[in-house]
Amino acid sequence: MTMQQTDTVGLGELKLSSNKAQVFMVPNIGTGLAVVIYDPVKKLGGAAHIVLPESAMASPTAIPGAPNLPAKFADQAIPKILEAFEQEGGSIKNCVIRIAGGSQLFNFGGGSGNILNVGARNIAAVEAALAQAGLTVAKKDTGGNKSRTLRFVLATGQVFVKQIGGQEYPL
Amino acid sequence: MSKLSLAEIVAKVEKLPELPQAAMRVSQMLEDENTSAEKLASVIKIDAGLTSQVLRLCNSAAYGFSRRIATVKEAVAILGFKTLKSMVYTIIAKVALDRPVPGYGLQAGDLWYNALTCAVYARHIAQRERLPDPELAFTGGLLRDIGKLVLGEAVGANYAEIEQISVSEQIDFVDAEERVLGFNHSLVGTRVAEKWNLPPTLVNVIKHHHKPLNLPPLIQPVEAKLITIVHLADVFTHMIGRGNGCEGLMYNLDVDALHKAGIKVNDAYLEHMLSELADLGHIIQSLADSLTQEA
Repeated sequence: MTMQQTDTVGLGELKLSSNKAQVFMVPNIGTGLAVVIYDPVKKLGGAAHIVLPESAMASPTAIPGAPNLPAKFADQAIPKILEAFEQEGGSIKNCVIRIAGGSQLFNFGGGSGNILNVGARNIAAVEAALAQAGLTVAKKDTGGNKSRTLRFVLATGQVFVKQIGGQEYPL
Repeated sequence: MSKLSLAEIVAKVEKLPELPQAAMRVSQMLEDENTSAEKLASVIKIDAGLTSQVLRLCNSAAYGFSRRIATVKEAVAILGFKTLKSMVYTIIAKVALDRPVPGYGLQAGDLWYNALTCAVYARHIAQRERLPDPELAFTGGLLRDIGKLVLGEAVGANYAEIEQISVSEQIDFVDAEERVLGFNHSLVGTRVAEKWNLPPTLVNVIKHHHKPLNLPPLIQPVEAKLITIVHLADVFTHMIGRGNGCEGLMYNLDVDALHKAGIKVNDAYLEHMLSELADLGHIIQSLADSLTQEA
């Protein structure tokens, strides 16, 4: 039996693998969105943790020493995921995409409504970027008011989601 | 379960673990403006564990000093009292918070990482807002949820009812806690803060971080802004941070309070800020790592 190799996909990160022993964990998914891509034929895939919908809204203030976060913005993340997936040997035609996250605060009071919807906007931005590549989301577990953790097992292609304090369930 | 009595809360607060004595003494010395750097260095040096932790934090990437700091005397000189204070509170907070709190669905490390995240976020927002002491915002963010240590068990036993009220009425989880238990984690946090002899400003941050709009009139504008910044950092931590509990995002952001405190928020401000905070993960990790290493 092959030892599983678990890797965490942090905020704004994107990781792919063709190693069948690979498991990706995406923890702390709040208003952000975890995107999982999988080729069931070649049994390769990857995961990303998107933070915000649009790169046009990136802050002009740079954080010194901050690492590059390729999946921070949905509009840039999706083309990068698809490109990296193909480079790894994945087939866009066969790929299965699942997403989890996009939770919401109750409200943002005082009429500051756009950021209130950042979870929903992340979902919409990911679906729009996928549509441009002719792709759709196969399964999703999104919305609500809870943080989630996602686990993606490459060997079987199974994705499991857990809301904090709850039980893990398959997606 | 009936509502908790004050006596029950006090008894639970009394059962909390003792905090590291040397670090607590240093934190109290740092509140005294008559303390000299020499005296401070001499007290830190007596405690080998504290000395090693201060030096590891100083030399972590989180502080980004260009040269290695080898002695406590150097550390005190280069950091200054404000930064040293937030550092000592970080050491204290690890002892207090690095434990599971099952009622909130928090496993070992969750509350600690969540506190560090909120601390780093609060300091960043405070720097952007030109608050006179951003390190105080760091410490406020670090300690804001210490009440969860006491309230966890009661929340766990009544979680379904608290969540049901919070979600159905779209009210802050703290308000639902209070409705069901008679106390919320902010109020209980003030009891913990008093037991630990935290300074009044931090007690106020802990007490009001979910409700920064209608603050008592005695709270000065700069303190009101500090409390409001910790409120904003807390909300961002729930949105994108590490180690959140099962209550997740069942909170509101009080934009009116932000405006009242002089923080001119709009959609662009909030989105830019979220974008900046997402880039601070390496700082949070570096702080956590430097206190996880063996002494």
